[in-house]
Amino acid sequence: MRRDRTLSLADAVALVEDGSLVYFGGNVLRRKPMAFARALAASARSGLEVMAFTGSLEVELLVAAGVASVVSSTYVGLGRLGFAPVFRRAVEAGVVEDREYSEWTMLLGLRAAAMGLPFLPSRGGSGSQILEHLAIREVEDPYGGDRYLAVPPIRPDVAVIHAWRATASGEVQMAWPPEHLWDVDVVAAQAAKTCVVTVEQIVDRRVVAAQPHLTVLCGVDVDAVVEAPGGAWPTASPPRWEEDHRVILRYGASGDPDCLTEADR
Amino acid sequence: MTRRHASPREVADVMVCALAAEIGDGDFVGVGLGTPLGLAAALLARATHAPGSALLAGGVFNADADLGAYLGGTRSLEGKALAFVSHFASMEMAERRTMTLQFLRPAQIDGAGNLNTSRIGPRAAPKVRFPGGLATADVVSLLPRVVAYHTDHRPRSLVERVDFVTGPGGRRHPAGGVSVLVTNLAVFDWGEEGVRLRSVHPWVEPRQVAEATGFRYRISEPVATTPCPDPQQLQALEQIDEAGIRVTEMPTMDLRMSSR
Repeated sequence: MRRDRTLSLADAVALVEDGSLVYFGGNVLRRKPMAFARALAASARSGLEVMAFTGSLEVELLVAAGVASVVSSTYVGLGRLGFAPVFRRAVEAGVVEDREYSEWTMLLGLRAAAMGLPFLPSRGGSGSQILEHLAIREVEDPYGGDRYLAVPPIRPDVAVIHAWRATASGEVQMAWPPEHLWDVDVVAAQAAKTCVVTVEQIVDRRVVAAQPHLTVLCGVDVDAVVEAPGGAWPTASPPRWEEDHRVILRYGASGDPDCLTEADR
Repeated sequence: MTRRHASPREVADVMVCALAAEIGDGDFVGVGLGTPLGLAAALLARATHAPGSALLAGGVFNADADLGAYLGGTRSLEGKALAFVSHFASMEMAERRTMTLQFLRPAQIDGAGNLNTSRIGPRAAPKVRFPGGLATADVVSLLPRVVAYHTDHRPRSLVERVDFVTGPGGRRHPAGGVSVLVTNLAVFDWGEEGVRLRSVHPWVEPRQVAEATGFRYRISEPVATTPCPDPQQLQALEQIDEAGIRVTEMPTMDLRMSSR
């Protein structure tokens, strides 16, 4: 019998323990697992390290709720609207620890974990204070030659991404054309100890098999599939939803997380 | 006679042309979607003097599209882009130096070419936390050339020493680091002897640049004037950005007040 990896949103959120490193997929105001972030913000969890490649409203919710004590990112903002007000205030007040990565160090770290390797080398980033703060060491080329950064693995306890659709056994599909940074979601999902995918729709395997070129994750890499239609709102969820500019603009102007609750929809 | 004033559009256009002049026909340019002036420059170069240059912006390769379509994301570029490139593959192009040039917009830059896109003040509780450096730290140490720009040239943005080194200047790593800086007043470049004022924009006096700049730089007299767009460039800019999106990146009075 085929594996059934479907879970309710509440059961999936319960996979997060106090102090966990939780990675959120998506790119700024696109594909953010907002339903999961909302439920996690409402939970009694504390001391989380919240990681996002390019974070936005999910970071705002989790910092505002006080469940995040560390934020790791290459960027947290609202795109063309500028600063993410809650994150900015919390860092400036010293309320959350701010771990800034560069894109390549975060991506290589996730990739190293996804490959099960102790580090991946790179020429990038030397001389940046970001790397000093992350305490990234160097390694010598054993075949002779230069020194390289040895980017250590990043292994999230839980990674959450939001995608278009999946089978109950966890074959995940994204829409065409591919979104910018789609592959970062996939690498993070593969790097994590526990991978949760929220989707617009759980579909029959025949739907997925009809367009296998859209499949980005195999069920063997997925621990939980949660059906959460509109689960990225108010961020975009292709091909179904574009950004809800009305709500995002209101949030940008007010910085009030209540703008982002479902009741406001 | 020197003009004393320029409209935001004229400033944006001189900046875009100065950025585009850095692109040669053999370049492969990477641009983020948070830097519309850099993207406009890459599109302008492809439409005018560097038709053989290649462009990767937001994971989109060589699309036959204008600035608005690029900023609209991949959905507005289906049928126009030659490829959609994964982010890992994009960064690999930087690591193996297939990509030759990137445009960056730091919050602060100093005379050594160090870039700060991270924060002002102490790390534990900074005075200002900017949204973040994205790939700044990576590209300055990977790519042969990086061109920076700043739309609000003043002593607190062009500083003697950056508050935080997100991306180091060229002396701290083997790659080139920032080679050119284009601002709303002038163009600087970096060479063996450090940073030099290359040109001032047509409506700017060298004295104004000195007053607005927090770092020391060399001058060779007489100071050159940054070229204005020629008719072909102006026509191309109209096609690339009919809506004038590039002008929205210029600072407004409101923004200046809120960030003071």
